Amino acid sequence: MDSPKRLMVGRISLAEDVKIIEKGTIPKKFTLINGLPDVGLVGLVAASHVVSSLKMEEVGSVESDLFPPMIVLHDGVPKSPIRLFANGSLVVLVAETAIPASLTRSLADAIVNWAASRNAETVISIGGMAVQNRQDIDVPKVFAALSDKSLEKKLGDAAEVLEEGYIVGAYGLMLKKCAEMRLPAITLLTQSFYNYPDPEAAAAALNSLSKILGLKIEVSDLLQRGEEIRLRARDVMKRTQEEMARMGKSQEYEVPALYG
Amino acid sequence: MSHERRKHLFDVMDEYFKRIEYLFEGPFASGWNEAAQCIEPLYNIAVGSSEVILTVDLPYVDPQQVTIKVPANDTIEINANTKRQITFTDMGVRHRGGQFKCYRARIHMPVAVLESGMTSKFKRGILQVRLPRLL
Repeated sequence: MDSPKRLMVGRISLAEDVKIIEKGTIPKKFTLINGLPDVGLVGLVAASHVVSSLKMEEVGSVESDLFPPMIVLHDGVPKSPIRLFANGSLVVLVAETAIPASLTRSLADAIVNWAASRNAETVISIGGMAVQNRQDIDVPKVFAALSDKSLEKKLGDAAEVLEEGYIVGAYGLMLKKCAEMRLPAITLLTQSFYNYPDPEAAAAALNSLSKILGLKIEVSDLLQRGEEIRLRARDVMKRTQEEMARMGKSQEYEVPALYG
Repeated sequence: MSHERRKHLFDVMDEYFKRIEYLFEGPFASGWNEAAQCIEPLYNIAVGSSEVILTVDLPYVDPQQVTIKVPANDTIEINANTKRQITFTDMGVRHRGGQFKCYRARIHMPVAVLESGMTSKFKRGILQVRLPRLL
């Protein structure tokens, strides 16, 4: 068994590596969909819905010595809280626990490096963008941050392109790294509540995703089960809110100082 | 001025107790109060120059079954009954008992507020309460 590279900082040992462990067949050509817990748990709810509605098969997990010492049980089987699922040309990464703010960069690097090494065609990350008047918005608007301007054609009218602003957290780091590695990446950010699970925003994000992929993802069940999802996701939302505060998520709502 | 000093002291103590709670997080810190059959809801507070906007996430709640009280100018109490009984089994968790019929929260306001002039609305399963600030 190969041991992860270690970097000694004072008396604290920091593992450099977050590892992607493959357990099943990864498609030769695929789009990677990321559903990490974030604003409104939009990504987690949307990605979980894709996994269940497309009956995706578990093909891997994300592991690290630095993650909190926990597993999750599903159908009596112990699993990593961060897993990969695949079906056809789609691979979905879902994290069903809050990501510690201190591990954001390691996780983002590991996901992008793995996607590049497996020749992913596109990386699409799904997240939320908190708006104060979310309660009064019937159909949340979806925005997209792109790793490259040439992706505007692929995006079409699925979302409005974000031109200016900050993205705090794993998705921002992943988008930048993808741009540097010339791996096409789209980050979909949907208007949502900040610290309440938002299935309606997840449904809006999935409608945009359907357009980008040319694949219909039915969201009526997601909307019908909205109250159940909001209650079930309540505890993950609380943990995620704590981590968002630690990483300074509120800076996303500030205006960049430099102008062209 | 004395009010400001009390506020500062309260904030320091509040932060201290939150820190203690964080360090000694127990099995009942998640907000599912089985004895009271109540859930502590998620909430958010936005402080404006003239008012405070409190929102509370209340899935499964009948809007007619929500009560809001302001027992002190820095505290709000929310009680809300659910439309139906909620159990852990409903959520696929079979090793925990307990059934829940309500949400209950006693929320400390970061600034003093006035009950008079308070307005509220319930939309998308979210309660919004607007309270004028005591200036």
